[in-house]
Amino acid sequence: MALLALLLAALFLISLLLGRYPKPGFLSVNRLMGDPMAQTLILNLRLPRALVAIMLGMSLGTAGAVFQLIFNNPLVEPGFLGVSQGAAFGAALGIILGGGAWLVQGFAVGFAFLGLGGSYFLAQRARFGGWVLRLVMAGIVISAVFSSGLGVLKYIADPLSQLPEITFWLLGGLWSVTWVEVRSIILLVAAGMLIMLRMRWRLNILALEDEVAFSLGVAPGRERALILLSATAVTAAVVSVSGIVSWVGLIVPHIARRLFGADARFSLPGAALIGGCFVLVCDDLARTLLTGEIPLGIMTALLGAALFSWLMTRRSIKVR
Amino acid sequence: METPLLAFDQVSFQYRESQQSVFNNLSLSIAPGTITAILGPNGVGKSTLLALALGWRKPQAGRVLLAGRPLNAYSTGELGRWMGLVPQSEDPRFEYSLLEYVLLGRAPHLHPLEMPAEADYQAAHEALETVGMAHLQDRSITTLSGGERQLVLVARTLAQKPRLVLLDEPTSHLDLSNKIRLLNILRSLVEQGISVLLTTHEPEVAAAVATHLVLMRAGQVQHAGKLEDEFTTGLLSETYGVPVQVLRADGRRFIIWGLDENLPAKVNLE
Amino acid sequence: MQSKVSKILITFLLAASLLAACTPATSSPQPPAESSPQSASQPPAVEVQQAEPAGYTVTDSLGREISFETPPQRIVVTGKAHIMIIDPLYTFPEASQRVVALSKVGQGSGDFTRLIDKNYAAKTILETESSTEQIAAAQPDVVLLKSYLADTVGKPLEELNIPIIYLDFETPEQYIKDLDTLGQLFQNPQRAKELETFYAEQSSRISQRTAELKDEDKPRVLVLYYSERDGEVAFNVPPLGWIQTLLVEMGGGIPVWKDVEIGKGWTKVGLEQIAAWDADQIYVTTYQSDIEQVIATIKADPKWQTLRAMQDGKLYAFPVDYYSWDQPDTRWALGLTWLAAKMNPQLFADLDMEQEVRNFYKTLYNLDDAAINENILARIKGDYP
Repeated sequence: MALLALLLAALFLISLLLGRYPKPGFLSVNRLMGDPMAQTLILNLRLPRALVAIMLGMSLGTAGAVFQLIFNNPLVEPGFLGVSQGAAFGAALGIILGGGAWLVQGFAVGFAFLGLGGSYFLAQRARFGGWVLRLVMAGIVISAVFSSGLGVLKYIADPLSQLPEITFWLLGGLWSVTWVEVRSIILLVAAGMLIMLRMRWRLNILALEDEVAFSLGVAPGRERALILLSATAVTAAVVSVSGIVSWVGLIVPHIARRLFGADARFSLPGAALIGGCFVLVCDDLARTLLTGEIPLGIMTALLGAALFSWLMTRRSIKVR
Repeated sequence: METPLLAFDQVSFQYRESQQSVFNNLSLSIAPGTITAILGPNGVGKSTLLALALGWRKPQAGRVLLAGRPLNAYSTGELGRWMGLVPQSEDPRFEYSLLEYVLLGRAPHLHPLEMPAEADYQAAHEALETVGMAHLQDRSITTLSGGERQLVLVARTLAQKPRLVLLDEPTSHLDLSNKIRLLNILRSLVEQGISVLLTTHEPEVAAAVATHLVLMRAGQVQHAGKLEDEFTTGLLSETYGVPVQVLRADGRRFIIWGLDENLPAKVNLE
Repeated sequence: MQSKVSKILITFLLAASLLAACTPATSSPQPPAESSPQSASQPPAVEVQQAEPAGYTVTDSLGREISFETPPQRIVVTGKAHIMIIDPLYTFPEASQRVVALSKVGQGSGDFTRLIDKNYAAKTILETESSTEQIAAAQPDVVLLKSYLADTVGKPLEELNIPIIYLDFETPEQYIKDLDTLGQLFQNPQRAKELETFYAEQSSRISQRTAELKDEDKPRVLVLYYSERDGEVAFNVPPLGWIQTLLVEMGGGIPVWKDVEIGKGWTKVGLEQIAAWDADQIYVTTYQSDIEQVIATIKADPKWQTLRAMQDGKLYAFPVDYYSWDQPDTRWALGLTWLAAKMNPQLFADLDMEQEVRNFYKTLYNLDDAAINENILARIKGDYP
């Protein structure tokens, strides 16, 4: 675990020196000393971007681990309870209403929670199945509603200025991240991450049968809600600045479990660190490989899918 | 008359989905320092009774009282410190060590954002000692047999330091030696001041360990009282709907059943 | 071990928050924003412009004021729809020297810039969607962008304190205004005046003649943009504020799609709607496909042959040399003239299209007759003259 933390720190420093200025590749220290543009670049663009990338990876990785544990399903992603699609819808709405960054982000977070709330609400009214099944189905329904709403918004959008922004947002990207974005999400991310990490021991109990958890003095409904809310909060926060970045919440928990076991006490912080490294690497590649920005979601999908299939084909997989 | 540890006061309960009422005006009391066995055929509502006792299910009418106060006057955490449930079986999903698994029982003493401390590890270790598995505390729970796992579940409940231990069919999957081991542990709990409430469909189990008996049949408590009074041929045959014979020897009870209608009147001891 | 991990993570998050709290907020792209650029050394803080005798201010299309001490020597044009900036930019003689990087062109029959810029080969060609760092690597003194890219491309560039001038160049009015801006940029107000006069005259001589026309005498006109994306063919009408619609109105025609709810971009219309409009004249343009092929396909299609405009022989293709003449490129002046002549030929019988073309390219781009013959006239497709 400590090694992983060191790796993250090292990757962070490397990311600051990597880019396309003045040429694709690494910035030499000499250049850094003498060129104020390089300094500005690192301070105003690369530094906040790297921080957000790490926060994005940590949040999605940890939230993904939480969701997979609570729903006892290794295929769920943090956004699947209508959170991702809600955030996408909210952001698109904000873009169309012509708002600045705050409006877009605010809407994204707001609608993400609306999606979660809607899923919960619908699940409560459902008549059959265990609570997991009801919640999953409700999530599918709410996601579909927001997704079609998004389609309508894309139709209305101005194709020159708004539609490309919406499209890029749907593929995920950190190209417009500045200190403003860091400030806007840091509180929510810090709070949510703290809660999730502190509750990681408790999470194992929440994974037991409800009645047993209750007998252990744990209020399963309430505590699950607390941790799900935290997981959703960090997801909504980072998604509001980065757009929809897929695969991170899905694959990072798997890797963490492979390395640290399924026990939440270790797999959660492991997922946080691995997530941070993963997204940082993907973002570095996304902004350095080509002259233009590759949407981050494409990078994470590519690398994520490659990693996932490699994991799948390794022997002695314990899928639990 | 001491306050009963646990009491059902005119409890009526039915599940939301089926409209059938499981209990109707049930009244029952469990005294402290006893081992009470709830005996009856399968499907008669024994697990539901435990769920109501635990506070997991709420009755539609009547109340359940713990040490004289209604259950809803307790917080979830408090309930966890008073009572613990040993489930019938559990499939551990991770490779916990025994110590870590038993450590989960410390949850009612910890705040949701709190992590277990040295004292909690100590309590878990002691619980494992009580069930005689402390020497295996670093083994992974997935490597244990079913019987040993059951004992670990008991240890987990003991780590809660409850006053009342509830067990749901604790011996159903156990072979004879493990059964005896478990029941011995239950008996020793009473000596430490912990009361026991267990459900079972096996009369032998009740006969071996219980001080008090609750006989259930078709959602109704037929009879309740001391073991000596209730564990009789007549009552048991009525409860199970099949002829059985109860023998008394050396102040203990044994039950005989056979395939013929006629059960032996005389018994030859080997 | 567990507490160590949480400590590491907490420390990280705290450090990040501290860093975020301490760094100064950089200014947002709202007017008025000022920054003093120079080629190399610049402190990152924003400075208020002092009254410097040698320096000057440029006001861009968003009303922002950008000050320069000396005229910038490294101009970079990037982002989408940049031919709408590049083509007007090169009407200034200084452009060839000072433009150092531009984006690739996405339409047309060739690189017009290559023709008018002798130093083209030495320039950096950026991809249409270049990243901020890539743009910064070109070491710009100033970046020219379409104004609607302010929130997207502009924002990160502003973080680097690179001066940005936003331009529109979408409508005739904006042309006048933005040419002024370019005049300020190059410190060449006389040239700006020349160009503005040229465009003003191009518009006014048309509107003078069509002013007499009463609405019932004006032809009902339909402009269609033929698009082919992912194999799907579509005919689109432009929004009411776009130059295509304005050309029709200025040229003395009535755009038939005026009453319909058009979105903010090209709006697809089906053949039924086209038939329902029953326009007197139909003009077709395309940006990515070959206009002559498109017209041929349309004329061969039996469904189109039932349209009155077709039967009257009034289906026309917008002319295109390097770029088509209907869009907010410098050539809209030619487009206006051509369209007016086609819509109301009786008013413009004296018009010599070839003369117009020569005049245009001489005035704007200083091309001689030989160059015009070889590169422009030889290239024109569509219903020209």
